[in-house]
Amino acid sequence: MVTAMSTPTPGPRAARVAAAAAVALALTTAATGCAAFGGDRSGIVVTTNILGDATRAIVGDEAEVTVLMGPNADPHSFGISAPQAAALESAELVVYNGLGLEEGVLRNVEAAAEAGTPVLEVGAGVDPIDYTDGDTAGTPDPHFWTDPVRMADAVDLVADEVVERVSGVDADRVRDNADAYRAEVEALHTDAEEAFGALPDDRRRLVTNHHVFGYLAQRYDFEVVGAVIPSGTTLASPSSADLESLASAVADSGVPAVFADSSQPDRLAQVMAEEAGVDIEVVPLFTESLTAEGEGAATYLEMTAANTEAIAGALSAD
Amino acid sequence: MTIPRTAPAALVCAAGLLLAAGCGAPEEAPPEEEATPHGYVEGAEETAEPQWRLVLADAATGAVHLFDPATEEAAGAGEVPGVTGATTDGRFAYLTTDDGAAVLDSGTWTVDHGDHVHYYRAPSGTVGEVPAPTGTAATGDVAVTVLTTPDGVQVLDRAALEEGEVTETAAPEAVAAVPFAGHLVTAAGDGTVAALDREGAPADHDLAADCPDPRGQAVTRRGAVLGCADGALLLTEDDDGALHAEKVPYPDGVDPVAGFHHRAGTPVLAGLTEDGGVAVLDVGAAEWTPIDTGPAVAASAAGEGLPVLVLGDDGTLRAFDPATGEETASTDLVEPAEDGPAPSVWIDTGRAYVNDPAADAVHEIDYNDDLRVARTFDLEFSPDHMVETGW
Repeated sequence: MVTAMSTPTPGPRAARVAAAAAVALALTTAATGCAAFGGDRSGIVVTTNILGDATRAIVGDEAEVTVLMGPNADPHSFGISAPQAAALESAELVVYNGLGLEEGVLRNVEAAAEAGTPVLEVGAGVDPIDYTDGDTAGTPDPHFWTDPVRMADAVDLVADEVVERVSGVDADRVRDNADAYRAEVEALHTDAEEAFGALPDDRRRLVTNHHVFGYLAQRYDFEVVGAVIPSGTTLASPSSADLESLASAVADSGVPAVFADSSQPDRLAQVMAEEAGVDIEVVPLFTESLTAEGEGAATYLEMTAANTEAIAGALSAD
Repeated sequence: MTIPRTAPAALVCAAGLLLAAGCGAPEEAPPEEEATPHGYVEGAEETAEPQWRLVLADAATGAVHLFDPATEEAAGAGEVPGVTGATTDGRFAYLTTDDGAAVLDSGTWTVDHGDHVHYYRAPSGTVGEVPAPTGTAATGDVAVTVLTTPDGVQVLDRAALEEGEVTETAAPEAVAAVPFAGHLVTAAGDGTVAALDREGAPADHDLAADCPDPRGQAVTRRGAVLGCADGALLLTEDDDGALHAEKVPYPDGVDPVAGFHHRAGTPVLAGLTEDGGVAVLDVGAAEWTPIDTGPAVAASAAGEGLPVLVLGDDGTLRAFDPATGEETASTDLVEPAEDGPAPSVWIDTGRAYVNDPAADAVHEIDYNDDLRVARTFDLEFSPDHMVETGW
């Protein structure tokens, strides 16, 4: 299960890392002529499992790819062990989401960059959008993967960097892998355009407690309607005040589905119908982490296709 | 038990407390996977909802339980023979005895980022012991937990606690302290107030304040508070990072407070006074509002514009408007206690909880709905001491 409300850390820290990374890149560029130096580094380390999946598809068998974040983990809070930190510092390339997403390993990425490891902040290179509401307004939204078009751009960024930084890879093979994977990501976009395009305008509303769908909303012309989802303790014996935020969000938006993680989705739907008089389907979505094999979102392609189908299906219901 | 004064020092886990659960690292801690060093470290799981837990201790048996009000399940969490009280920093519960306190990681907590929050869940387990006997009160922030004990102040490293270790980072000479704005603000027995860094060294802030006979402390979003014989000392930080102190004297007829209680982080405090009354401190407005309650045994405040809950010695729970002191609701809740520890009132974002040792029960109160008893949890033990974690 992942976060209900996730936003990036404030800008200055991210900017500092970016600056450190820029210096590190300059340093390693100067040093790549030195064979002994390059030989001390090995492999590609990726922070999040979503970018890890894409990077593996791009790299194929050309280099070892290590992904730090496990399945069903939280990108904001996951931390790494000392051996993993050492692997990070001795990698030929570190790929991370950035824009403040990986709060738990930002320190390690920063340290690796200072130690001369080439690092790629993918989020910064895919035309990020800023949050517009609340205290985080004006800071970048890190959840770019909910837009497959940006993810396709990310594929090129990673491929370019792998070819440039990682010794011994067959550049043509990496380019071929990237082209093939990019085509699959672009197909996700085509499918989403078609599925969401069939929805009438007054159904293009995501009533949700997730903060990760800003990119999807922008790409496919959805409105994100935030709502407080009644929690387990209040659902047991609710009063009308407990249900007011969600009930009014549903009533105002006129949609038949709420996209939320709930510990008791059936109970939530039942309570909303009985106590607040609104009929909703409670639909879980995959948000910030891939799952283990067989759990519905083991790859980015599977995750995105599942979300597209869930959103389009729930919002087209009568 | 002696208090190690060398800082930083990992306190040794002594035998005695938490016999059943043992000492050391939290239970069920995921083992390091040496065979797959490129795997991931599975730690906390972020959850969509708050993970409230009630830590309940039975005074007669020493049994400690973690009760989850969402599932209504009580899980055994070890034994603390001779347990006399409980306090918490939001994640870790400190179960006191006359000799010291056992530290229990409840495995649930919240990280507040101002406009949004993150909720976490991890395995629970025992952490160790601290020389913090009966009467200890905890306050904390992201970096430290400050234990104000009858024997002085101990500052524990929060990151070490999360790793399953008790490490004292500072032991300032003071009788009360709060963590605030990256500092420690301490009050000594002679009323001297000082701003220290987190390691206990003097910091460059002249607070120009005193706090005679300090008692009670709280950390809120709008400032921290120390209770004093002559009023509440409000601590604030300005935009330039400078710390300021302001004394808010007690109104006429209000006795000094013995302690503050509130929903975590909120800047409205219920102060239980030494004569058994209640006075409300609005930290943002720097104002006291006396409450005409009758003799009170427990109280807490839900926040700005939300009710103050007071449990009377007659067993009735009453709600008051914090701005006017007017009573807005009441409900007969518990049997008046003949002896034994007083019940406590804990308030979270959705509900309030009141322990009822005489009935082996905990009552769940909807404080936004005229103190409606939403649920009563019947237990197979006596919940003599209770703290709520997950915040």
